[in-house]
Amino acid sequence: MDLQRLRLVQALKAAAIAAAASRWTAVSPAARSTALAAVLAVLASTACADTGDTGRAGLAAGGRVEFLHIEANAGDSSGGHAALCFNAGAEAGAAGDGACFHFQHSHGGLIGLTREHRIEVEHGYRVIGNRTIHALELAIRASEYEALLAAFERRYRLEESQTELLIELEKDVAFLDLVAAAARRRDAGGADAAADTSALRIPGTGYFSATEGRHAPSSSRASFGDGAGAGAGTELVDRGLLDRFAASTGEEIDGLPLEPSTRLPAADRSAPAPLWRGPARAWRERIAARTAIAVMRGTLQPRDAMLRTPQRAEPLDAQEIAALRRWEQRLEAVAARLVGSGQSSHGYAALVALARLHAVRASLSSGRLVVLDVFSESAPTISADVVRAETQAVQVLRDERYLDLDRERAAFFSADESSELLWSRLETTAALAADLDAAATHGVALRMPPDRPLPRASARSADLPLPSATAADATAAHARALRRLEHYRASLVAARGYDLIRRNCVTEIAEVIEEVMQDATQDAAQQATQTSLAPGTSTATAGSLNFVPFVSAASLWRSGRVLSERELPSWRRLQLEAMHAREPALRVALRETVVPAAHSYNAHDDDPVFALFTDRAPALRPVFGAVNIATGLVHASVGTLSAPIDGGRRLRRGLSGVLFSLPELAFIGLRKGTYPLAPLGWLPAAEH
Amino acid sequence: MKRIFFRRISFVAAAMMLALTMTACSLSDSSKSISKSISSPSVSLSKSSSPKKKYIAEVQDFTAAFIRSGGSAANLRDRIGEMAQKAGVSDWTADGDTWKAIGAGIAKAGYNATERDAFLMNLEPNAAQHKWIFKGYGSYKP
Repeated sequence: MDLQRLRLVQALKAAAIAAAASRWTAVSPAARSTALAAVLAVLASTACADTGDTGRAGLAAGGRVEFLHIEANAGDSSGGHAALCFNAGAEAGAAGDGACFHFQHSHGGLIGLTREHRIEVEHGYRVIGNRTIHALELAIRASEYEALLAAFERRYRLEESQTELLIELEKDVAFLDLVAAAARRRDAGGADAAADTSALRIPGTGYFSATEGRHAPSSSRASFGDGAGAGAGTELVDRGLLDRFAASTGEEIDGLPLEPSTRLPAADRSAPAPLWRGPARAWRERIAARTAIAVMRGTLQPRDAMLRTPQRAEPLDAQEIAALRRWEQRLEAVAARLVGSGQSSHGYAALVALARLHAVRASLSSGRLVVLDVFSESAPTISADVVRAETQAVQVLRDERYLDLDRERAAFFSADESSELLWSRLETTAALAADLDAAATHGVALRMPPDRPLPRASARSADLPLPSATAADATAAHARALRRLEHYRASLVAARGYDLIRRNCVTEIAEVIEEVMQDATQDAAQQATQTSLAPGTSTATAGSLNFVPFVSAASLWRSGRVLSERELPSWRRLQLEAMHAREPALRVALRETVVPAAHSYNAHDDDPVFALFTDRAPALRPVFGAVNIATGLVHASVGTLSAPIDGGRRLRRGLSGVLFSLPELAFIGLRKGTYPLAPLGWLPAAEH
Repeated sequence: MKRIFFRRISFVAAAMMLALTMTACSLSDSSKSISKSISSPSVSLSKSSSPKKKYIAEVQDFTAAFIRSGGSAANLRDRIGEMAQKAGVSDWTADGDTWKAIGAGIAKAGYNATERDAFLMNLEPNAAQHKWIFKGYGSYKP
């Protein structure tokens, strides 16, 4: 087995060297087209070597790997996309469990590994992105399956930690910039020495206010104080202790060190980056702790405006009310323990517990499920225009989320003991269902749920206390933070910077596979691993067009190592097939080709402007392309005039319409239209 | 001759396509992400498997892989905290399931009792956490 691997590694390197040393056209087509295939086939070939079988007999039970080639569309991944999926469709709990890994062009020009469930990938690309997917099942062995899955998991965790660190370094720079500005004003003796801190976000603080909650009518006021300093909060934690914590937290903020407590790690691949303990994080933790103490002391009140009730949900029954009472008691104990610990690192968790306590008491008081508005105040949205244009889809989405809500509700209330994890899921689902209620009824914009199922709202407080450093110290700390950020970003870009040809969604998949392969051959082929490949120069794709997803898929197929291929049609194709089954083909073809007349597609602002679909008429593509270019030009011309009013939105749509119509002149159709609001139920039932 | 011509044409067409669009591969922060998170939020996916069990298995596997790769105890603590928040557990330091999963992960990494205790010296669990870790360690079945 090892010898066979060694030969393949050497063959790969030879192909790569030949390709790199030659002009593209001078390399043998076979060498080009099989380069990626060879990488992916290494695992298969070793399985075959052991069993002497080139078919399914070489497969171990439970190890199913699929390479997904996702067709191109305009704008987002117009060169196509690729993913590797593990055990899609297998029983729940099987290793991999439908996990798909794919590399996306992400934060700050990096390419980063994403892990999603297979259903999410199909829904995201086939339905929302309207792209056909080609799923190629690869021959693979159980032990190699495990190694491959572990390698992708490891890489995912590593990159996730690095991206988090980068974001935290950016927050340090923003925070210290503010501290330095405030210090300069203070040193200059300015009358208004306070800095405007409203741009800094502290999750969890948005559920409380000094004034708003107190005046809102509510029979369920979950007050921890009466505003005069004596209340339920002081029953949970000793009043004197709260006062001491309040004073010590204030002192901590005042004298907060402006330097991180940890060293900046190298952006390598040895281990996940540690949690970055910079000044911004330290400040956020202390402000959160300070807020929690203020809530307990009664100087801040929970805000009724941050509560949501999914209107279509059934009222609470007796069993649920009893369970909520237990959850309320637990939240009280949690809040008391976290605030009473005096540890600022518990500030966010304490705020979450206190805010939830308010929501649970509102539920008990009203007899209906009331949850927190979990959304971040800066959550991206789907515009009200799109929501109003897609009322039918919004209603289906709402119904789907209500089904989710029923399931999550049953899970939480049937559990033996109150579980925060289950409540978090119920809370997020209920808040999303309530948002969809509002969108379906009033046509308001839809907000993106937080990336983690926890309440994320931040207060927009303009007068939060900052460290009282001198202007010189703060400016120097800011400069050092900026250097750290630039250094780390440069290291990450060197290791993970996106490159259209050298480092993209295909080359990176190939690279992870190569790493697994090299680990396995380390003992038998020491020499081969000594020349291990630098990131982004995967032998599988170097000097060939295999970095293009559809070329790599074709290469794989020709390698003979693909067990089967399934075509998973895009949402529009599925609709057209259904129309063809019940209407004359010509009528469907004529109507569905013309965008304004099509029943299968509604034009919207996120898509480039076009007049004719070209995907079903390849021979007429250049003619249709010319019409689309003309349409784009007209739209852009009008957009030039309307730019002062619409901020150039129409102009951009027109110009991108022209851009994505140009390939049509050369018979290449990229654009297929997208569906910004697409219920999960649009995926064929058998496939999810 | 004809083949070479068509090969060159296909190359030029592919190159033109890429040069024009320059956005091969998906963008992580596209508007599609918003649509996806509303249409197929991850909370709606684990229909057949328990989300709690899934979380416990993730913590266990991560702990084992982390220890095998030589990661530090302090770093593990931080990373588990992040994992817990992503699963919806903010008060993770008092979550017995999380600590039992860490204990099982230590066992899965192949640590014997001496190695486990040395690791725990650096992890610095409190009394309750210590108890949960031991419970998870003892109940791990490969």
